[in-house]
Amino acid sequence: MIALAHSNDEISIEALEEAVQHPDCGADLIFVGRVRGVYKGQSVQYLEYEAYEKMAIACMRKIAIEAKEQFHARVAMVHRIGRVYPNQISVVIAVSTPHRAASYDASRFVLEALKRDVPVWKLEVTDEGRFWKQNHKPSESQ
Amino acid sequence: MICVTILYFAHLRDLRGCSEEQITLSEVCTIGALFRQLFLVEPTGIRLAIDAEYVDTETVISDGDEIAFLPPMGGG
Repeated sequence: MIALAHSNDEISIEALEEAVQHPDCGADLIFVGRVRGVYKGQSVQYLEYEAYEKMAIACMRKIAIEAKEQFHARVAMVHRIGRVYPNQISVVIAVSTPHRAASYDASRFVLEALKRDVPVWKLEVTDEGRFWKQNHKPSESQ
Repeated sequence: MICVTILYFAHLRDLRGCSEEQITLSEVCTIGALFRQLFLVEPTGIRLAIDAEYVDTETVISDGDEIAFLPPMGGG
């Protein structure tokens, strides 16, 4: 399952985990990204995500294939598009591998690749105004 | 004549004032040159795509291409 979920679409964490389960895989790992209510002291009202949708889906598929090649990981992911409020889910990544070490590595690989390469943008709306926020490199992120 | 569709996202859409436009070029040029022509700056930090595939600044554009200028990503 590789998908973009629009604001009112349900994201089922259970469905993502089911999508990656396989008799050969003993380690499922689910990453859930949620919108923070406060960023650098400013109260966040909501985020507005947008995507170049057909390219985003193609990039997510490519990342899943790379994770399979590198980590023997089965991958499913859904990214939210549209308005997302604090504490709501923005992204879910499910990976399943034969053993646990590869599962942690694959999950991180997929998330970092998604943040770097998938054409999705977020407008952060706070009490102070509206700002296009860009992702930091992993070494710069908190 | 070369007719292309250009897609703008995030702050580039705000700058350009539209999310999509069709333009006609009288001569062949690279995607980097097209960006410079439209925004009057180098595409520093901007990733470029043709038909939903990443390309570099020296890629020559062709009739019918769907061109996208992609600001730094914010997904996740």
